[in-house]
Amino acid sequence: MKTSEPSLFLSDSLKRKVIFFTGKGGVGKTTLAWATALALSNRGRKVRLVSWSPFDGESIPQNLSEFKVPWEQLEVSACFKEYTLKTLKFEKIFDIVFENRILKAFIEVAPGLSETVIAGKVWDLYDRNKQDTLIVDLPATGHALSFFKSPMGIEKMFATGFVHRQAEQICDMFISSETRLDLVTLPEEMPILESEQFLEKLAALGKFPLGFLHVNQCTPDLPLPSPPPKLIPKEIEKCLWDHALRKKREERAFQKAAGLPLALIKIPRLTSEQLKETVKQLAAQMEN
Amino acid sequence: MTQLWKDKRLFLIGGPGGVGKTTVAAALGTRLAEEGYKTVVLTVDPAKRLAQALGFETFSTELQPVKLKQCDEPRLFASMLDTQRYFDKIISRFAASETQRDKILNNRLYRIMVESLGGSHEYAAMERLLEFLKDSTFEKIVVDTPPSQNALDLLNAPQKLADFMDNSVLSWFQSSNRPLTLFRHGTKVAMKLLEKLFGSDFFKALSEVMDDLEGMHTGFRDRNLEVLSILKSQTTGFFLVTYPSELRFRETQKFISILKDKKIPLAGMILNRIEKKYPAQLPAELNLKDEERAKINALLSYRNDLVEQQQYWLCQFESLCGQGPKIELQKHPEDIHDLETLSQIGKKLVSLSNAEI
Repeated sequence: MKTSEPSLFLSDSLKRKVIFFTGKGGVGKTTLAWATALALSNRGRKVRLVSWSPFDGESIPQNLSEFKVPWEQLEVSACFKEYTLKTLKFEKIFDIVFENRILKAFIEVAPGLSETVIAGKVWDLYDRNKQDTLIVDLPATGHALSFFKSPMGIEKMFATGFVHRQAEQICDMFISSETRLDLVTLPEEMPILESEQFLEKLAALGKFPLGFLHVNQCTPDLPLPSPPPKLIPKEIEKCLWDHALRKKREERAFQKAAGLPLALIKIPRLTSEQLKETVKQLAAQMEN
Repeated sequence: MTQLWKDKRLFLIGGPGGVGKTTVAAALGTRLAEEGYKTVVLTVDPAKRLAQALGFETFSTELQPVKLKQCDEPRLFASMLDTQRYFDKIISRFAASETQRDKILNNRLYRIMVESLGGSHEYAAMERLLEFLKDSTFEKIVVDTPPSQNALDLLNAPQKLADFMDNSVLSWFQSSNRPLTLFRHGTKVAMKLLEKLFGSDFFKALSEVMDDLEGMHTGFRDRNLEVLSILKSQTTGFFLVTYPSELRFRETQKFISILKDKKIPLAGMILNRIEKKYPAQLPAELNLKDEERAKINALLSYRNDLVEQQQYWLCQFESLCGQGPKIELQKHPEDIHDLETLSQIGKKLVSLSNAEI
């Protein structure tokens, strides 16, 4: 697909109720999710951001709260409790029986339960705030796949029960035209390959509303004299050489990415030290 | 090669996703083999390019010999982990009889559980590891830990399974006809609730698996203790691969504190993809056109911004691990395609010593 304009990204995002972000580890999913939330919020949209990264909740810097975007870290046992109480309404029993290691052990091994519980919470937030946009920062591709897979499996596997009915609604949300699934990747061979494999597996699950492929941390286009002028110091010549190699590598990655069924957005590598600053700059680019 | 690498036999390469664990593991394996050790690299990440760099089309679950330039007999081996197969093997080992084994392996729910069970990859990685450790074929074992948001999964997996396999937890789900004790009465109410939530078929299927797993808890518990003692052993080195940015720093910080809690020593920290420092700008006396000078200086300025950005977090890492063993590996401008590059990275890696601590 063609390279997309950042402004198109924002106008499309304004039309969606749920936007999922996923991608290989360390490519910048969290950064992109926050920047999107901030850009939408700056446009006057009511936005809510939820993250489900099973283990790194505490690693989100506190200073992002300055952006005034309501943010929540989803946690399986809390979501499970909330959900159970809401559907069944017997708190006493819950407290007596469920706040123990047996329940914890159960949640951890029951097939796809954690994912379904989280997906259920996402659905609930979506259902309750139909006017807003919900941005979901999913874990890396492997976990994200089971996130999409589990409710579908449960829906097919068990013909009855609350969970079955819930799973149906979740699946409807996944494929709704008000939902969008974005991938974040890097302009390198492996992350692009992983995106491709993720999309193949996802396609086997169903027809998801695919949106944008954010190719993060691209080397900026710096026009350089070619061939390099003679007599420049060796160290600087090396730098020019290194830059050229990076650009070549990225060009190959873009060519591969162009074959994927998502609109490509190239995001330049930024040099700010703080995540907060990076988020601000990216949001400004999206709004431009 | 420093003493650190000579003394240890097992090298666990962990860290957050996307920091280059697989490359570091392959580089270390290559270097150890070149130093004369019979080495195996165990990976879970089917990185095709890396497989090609090691000389084969794709990773397979069989042991694949890697052809090194300077030695005729194969000294480096690579193998990919197949979770499903290893989990089946574990069940086979702990099952009391063939009937019990087959019943479990053929259970539909068991198959789904293995696929979706949190930490099953990690558990299977640990199992494979124990096999290699008991076998004296390999002098050095390098493990590229499973890609996970946080390498903590690996450390928690055996505990999590042992907890679940705990007999009292199992019996809770089993459709046994033991007399109703007070406890079982309470659980009966809860079971009803779960049944309402999940539907009766689900619950029946689950109870069946639990019945089948009866008696296997001792096996799992012993395994957990064994794995823990290996992690703490003098001949094991846990290496953390990370990257100097705010999020990775916070993850690493948390990770180190958990290692401390579990009393697992950190053998070294590998800061990967470090930007090389170049001169800040062209020398003024150089005779260049203004336009050319400006263009090149713009690149130098951008590159120096990158260096500064990383430097800030490198300093934070410095204060995090103090004088502990730490090494910086430079960012490669290209995808890694060959053993030569892996060997170079490996050389740099094994120069890391723990002399300071």
